[in-house]
Amino acid sequence: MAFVVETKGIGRRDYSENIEVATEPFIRSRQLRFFYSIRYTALALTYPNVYEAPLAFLVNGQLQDAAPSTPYLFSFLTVAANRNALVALQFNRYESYQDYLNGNIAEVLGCSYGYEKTDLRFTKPIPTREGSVYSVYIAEFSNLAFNLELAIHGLIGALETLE
Amino acid sequence: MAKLRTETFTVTPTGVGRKDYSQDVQFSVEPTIRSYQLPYTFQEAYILNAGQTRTIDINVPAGQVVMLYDMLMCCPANVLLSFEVQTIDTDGVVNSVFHKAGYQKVDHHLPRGVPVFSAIRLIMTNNSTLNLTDVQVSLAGQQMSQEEYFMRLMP
Repeated sequence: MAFVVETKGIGRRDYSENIEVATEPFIRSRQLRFFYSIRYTALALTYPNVYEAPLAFLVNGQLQDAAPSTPYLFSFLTVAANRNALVALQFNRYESYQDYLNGNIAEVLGCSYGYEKTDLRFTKPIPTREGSVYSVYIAEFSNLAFNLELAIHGLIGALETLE
Repeated sequence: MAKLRTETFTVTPTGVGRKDYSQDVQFSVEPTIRSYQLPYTFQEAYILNAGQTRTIDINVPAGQVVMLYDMLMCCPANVLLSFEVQTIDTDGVVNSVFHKAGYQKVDHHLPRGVPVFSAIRLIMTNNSTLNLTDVQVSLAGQQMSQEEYFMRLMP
């Protein structure tokens, strides 16, 4: 039942019926959304061997390995195979590109195994640090050549900074 | 579902004074991560022999609060696992966040998070006859000081 506020007297009209129609947007004004999806076709792997996929960032039309000053927020990473085999996903951060080349992982942000598919979900997205290099380990341990779909979702921006 | 009608509401300015922008005042934004919050992640691989239960305490730095949102335990074998996460308060009170079992993987997500003031206790059980050498535990959330958690104003 609609509630109508009768206008009477003088002064500003009462619009209180409708002031709460405003919504909270999914994408905030200072955010962009990114989506990364690729199919890896690779030769057979045996546990615990993995492939490493470094993540590149597009800055001013150029791809770069190091995370830019505008943070990327990773909220969802998933790998899926096309058969019921054991798959693995690990999300890594390196302090620098040199550390990436040397294999010195600064921190593992998440690791997950699963049959046919597995994922890492971050309710509060993980922001990148400027200058760090990020990669994912992916694997399927069926001892057969495989196709593995990797997808990564997230937001760009949305870290509060104080003046 | 079918939308029956759409109604557009327009505020008509009348009289003098400031226009009524009340329709749009809630378009203000809220950042995903506030300036006082740091991301928190914990990731470790454990050995769990057949039938073994392990208890691990992860200390939270003094004066800090960890808000836990995502908890995951998994292993590269299709065996029954059991996973319990507890929080320990500064006064020693232990609270169980969840206790679940699952084959190969146990995960739990808390959309509103759970605050941890002193330590996070992980209780992991391998309910199989297989010795597991690579049981992965991943935790994710945010970290902040207790003052910031309680939003105390500076004097």
